[in-house]
Amino acid sequence: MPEPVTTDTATSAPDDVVLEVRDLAKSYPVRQGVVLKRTTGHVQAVDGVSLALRRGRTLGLVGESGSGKSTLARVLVGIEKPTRGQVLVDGEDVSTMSRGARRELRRNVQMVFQDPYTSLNPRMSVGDIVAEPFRIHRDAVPRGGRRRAVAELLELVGLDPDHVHRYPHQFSGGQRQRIGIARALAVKPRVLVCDEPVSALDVSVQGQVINLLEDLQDELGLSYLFIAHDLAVVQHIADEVAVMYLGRVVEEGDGPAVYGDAHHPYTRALLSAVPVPDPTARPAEGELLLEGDPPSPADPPSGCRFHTRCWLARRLAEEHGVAGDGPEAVPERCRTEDPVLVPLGRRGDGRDGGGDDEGAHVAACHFAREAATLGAHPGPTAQASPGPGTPPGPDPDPDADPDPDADPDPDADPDPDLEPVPDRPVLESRER
Amino acid sequence: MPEPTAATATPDAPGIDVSASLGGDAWRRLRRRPDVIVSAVVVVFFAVMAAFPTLFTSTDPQRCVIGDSKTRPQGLGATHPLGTDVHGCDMLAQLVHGSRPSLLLAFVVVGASVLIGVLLGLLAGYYLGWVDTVVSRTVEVFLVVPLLLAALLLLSLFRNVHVGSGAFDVILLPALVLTLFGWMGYARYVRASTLEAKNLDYVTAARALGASDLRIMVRHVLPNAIGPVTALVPTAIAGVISAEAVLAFLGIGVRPPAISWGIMITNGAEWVTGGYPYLLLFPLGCLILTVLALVVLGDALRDALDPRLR
Amino acid sequence: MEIDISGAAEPGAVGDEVAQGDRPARTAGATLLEVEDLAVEFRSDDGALRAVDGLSYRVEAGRTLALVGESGCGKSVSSLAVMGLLPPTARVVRGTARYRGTDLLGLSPTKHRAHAGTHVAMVFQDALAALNPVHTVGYQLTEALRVRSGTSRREGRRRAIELLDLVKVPNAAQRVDEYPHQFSGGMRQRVMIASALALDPDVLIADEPTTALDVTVQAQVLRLLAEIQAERQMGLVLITHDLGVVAGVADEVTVMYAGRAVEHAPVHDLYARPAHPYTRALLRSVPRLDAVGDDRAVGGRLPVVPGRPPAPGRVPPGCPFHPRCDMARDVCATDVPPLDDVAPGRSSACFFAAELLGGVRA
Repeated sequence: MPEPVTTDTATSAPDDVVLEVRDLAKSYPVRQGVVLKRTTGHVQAVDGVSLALRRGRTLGLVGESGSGKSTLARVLVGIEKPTRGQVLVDGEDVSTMSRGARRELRRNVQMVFQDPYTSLNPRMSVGDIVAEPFRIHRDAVPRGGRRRAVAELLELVGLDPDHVHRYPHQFSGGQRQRIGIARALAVKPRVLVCDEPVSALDVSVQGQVINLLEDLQDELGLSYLFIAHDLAVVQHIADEVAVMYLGRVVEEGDGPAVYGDAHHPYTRALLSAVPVPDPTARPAEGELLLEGDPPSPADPPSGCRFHTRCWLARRLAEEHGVAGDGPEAVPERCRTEDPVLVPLGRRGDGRDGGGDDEGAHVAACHFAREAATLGAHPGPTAQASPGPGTPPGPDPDPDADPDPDADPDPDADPDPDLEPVPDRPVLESRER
Repeated sequence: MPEPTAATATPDAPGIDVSASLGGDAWRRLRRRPDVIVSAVVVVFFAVMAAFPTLFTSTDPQRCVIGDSKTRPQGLGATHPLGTDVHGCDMLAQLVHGSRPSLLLAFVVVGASVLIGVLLGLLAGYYLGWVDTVVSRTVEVFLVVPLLLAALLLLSLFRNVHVGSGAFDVILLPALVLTLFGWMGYARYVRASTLEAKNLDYVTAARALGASDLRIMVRHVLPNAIGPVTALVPTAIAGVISAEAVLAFLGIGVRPPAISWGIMITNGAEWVTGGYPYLLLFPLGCLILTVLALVVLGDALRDALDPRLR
Repeated sequence: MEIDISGAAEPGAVGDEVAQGDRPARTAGATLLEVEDLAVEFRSDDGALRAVDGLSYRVEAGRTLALVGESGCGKSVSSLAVMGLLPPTARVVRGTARYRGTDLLGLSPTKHRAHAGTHVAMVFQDALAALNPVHTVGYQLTEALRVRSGTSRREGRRRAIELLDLVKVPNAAQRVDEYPHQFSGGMRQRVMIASALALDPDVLIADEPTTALDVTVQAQVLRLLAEIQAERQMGLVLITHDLGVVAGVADEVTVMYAGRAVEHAPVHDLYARPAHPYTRALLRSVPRLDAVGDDRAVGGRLPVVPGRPPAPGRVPPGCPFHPRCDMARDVCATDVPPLDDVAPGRSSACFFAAELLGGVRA
């Protein structure tokens, strides 16, 4: 494993946080009627999310459609107003500022979009697209220097500066995504919110864009909020990972902790559902197949929002003989009590202290301990722990992976977690 | 991953460096199409005719000799090259002098309707909420009130108002009526395409950059929402010219003694079965020719201004 | 769950004489569909664009063939050609597609579609676009049955419920009367699969069936496809760009690049020892969850293929991959490497395939 990127977490000062949200919520009214519109309900797209993004770091945000991750992104870049909670840029609450100050501060948070085919105005030349931020923020670059600034931006993202007069359709998907990145960088932001930036790109081009983003981060000290449904991409790029389900963060922590030592049953199911490009690792009984689709955010389930699909709740109910059938066959507690994020601060290597919230591994499950230990630790990480492509097939990728056995991820090893779990639910002992 | 089929796949950027402006490039593309050139010639021809009618005929359209009634076309060089109408008025002179009120009316009405419709549609689609409610309900009200009923109402209102006899004065009343009932289509189309366009990622991107509503509407939403309107305009022009004829019956069309194509078409239609089809065919031909030319031009212009089709 | 499909296949029930009749039973391994040297061109302002160029593959009963490639490689176009569903701007210029001996491409367009539509079914990526919003799901499910075998409405509804049960849509009897927008993405894709199964096809072509779905739902749909295929011994053609999906379900893999097949191999061999540089590059450039301790997993740079796949009409001379290939030599720029056998059961269109295979063994 490369140098753990989390070692400096504990020492990072709070003023390192460039973007923070506290208890953020965004709901959309559901209206009915043609002439007189009545509000008949609310879709809670984001419901009480707190996250912090530190300078030069990448926070990965994963979740299925409807989890609210894209809504969160739109609130962060100021396209949507939150219905509750705060957005803090550089420690200052955006909502309490004057219009002008807010606009200035907003410059620090820019966005990279998913679809390179719709995110660029087809009627504007590349030069105009990249220069548009200068026309909106007239003080960003003096008028005379704009042409050069555009050329520099294009060069920065690996495009030919002579192509300023071309139109978006003359570029490939990967190149368009570079144009979108150049536009976002024009006002010198400190945070880029990347909403599925590579999921519309070809496999062989995805890597180019990811590498570009990483280079830019090193060069410009950018922070990324990296939203993706592809867990492997997030694992690659993110320092910390937050998992969202139906508008809530259900698990958060540094990358290796979440990927190697997931404590929320949803995270574990997500991980086990990711197809692994290795036919020898075909999912077998270990796969935690979730049933059905995520419920509608307009009518989230009571208690723990995941309980209607939760494999762990079923299993626990079976073991403890909860009567009934169907979605109600779950422990009473899951149905009635909304779990909060609790620190799991009990890491095998002791990297994170228990009480330290920053960078700590947290999960919102009444039975987080059981989730981490029950079953055959079926995450792909575990399946492949001796290295990808173990016999019968030789290693599929010998060049890039010279010695997979040399440094197994300590977090991937389930054994240290198998400390005895008391019958007493975890939550009680850890509630603050 | 969306996989564009080969037909839609984006070709690699060609080796040529496109350095010319969009306008200059559009002009170069238009010149290469013979249908565009022919259409342009037709439109210019009628425009010149409307502006300088005396270049085309020296006959006074008002000088009608009832004895020459329904003279068949005599060919070039004769007294009545295109014959005369029921009242013995010279057809050519009437066509030539009728072009000015007809075309002027058409362009004024369509121009004003597009302006009003696009503006209201854009505002309604962009802001939604009460703006949209007001605009949409107004559109509906104007759609359900019959044009003729409203025309009669206005007629009675303006019955005693004296307007002059200048080029604009003779079309003032019909222009008012037709514009009042002509903008709703554009408003609806633009509202619908604004709704679509404003949720596109590049509009969101502009908003994330902090662009003002005005900038977003003008730079990003409108150019991509105006497409359907350009398709409506040529046929709307034809519609205005023929609707004017109907209004003429009610006395709020082009005011006699001024003549227009619409009036000629209406009058001529009575005689088609009576053995004098040319009374209808000449003005109708002019109208169709103008509209077809505008359709071709509008289409070509839209293509030429779309960078995707370059 | 078994549903009675025989009614649909009754001889004489269908107007098209080649469409139905005494069809041989599906025995595992029997060749059902054989595509040979298929070439498809698109008309365009710049002349004819070759979208598919000399593609061959074979679909066997009870086995899954994956067609893998990036956008524009021709994997979807080739299937549309087999189904007779090419857009008017495209045409087949060469090749055959034999379904149990009958060359589909040699039939008239109407017969082609009827024949292919009966025996070869297709599932598309965008289930919402493929379903008509104004008809109930049940109505659309059995449209093929009603059109082709004159099934009554009542009987059709019964069948529709059976089909929904088959694809594990809960409360099938109730949901059959609902409209597509009332279904979630995953459920819609199940409906699409059910509708493809309505005529009990021999071959199912699934074009990116799970690309629009969430991972947890993707896993469900993939498992469903595998179950149904195993139960019915269908031949399955899975078109995808996702090497993870391929590894999970495919038996054989054909990798396509710029309209051509560049490698064909049994799935284990392909992942273990790719015999074409493009395949190798694809496998390398994907970040993988299982690559713990690998640079690709965390932090380090992803190995990338420079450039991008060529668009049809801009395919370079020689080997289409040579401008992006780290093994390219002079010959690659001038000569087109043929798809040759390099090992039992596998072939590669690379002059240096032996080197690739040998290099790994060493």
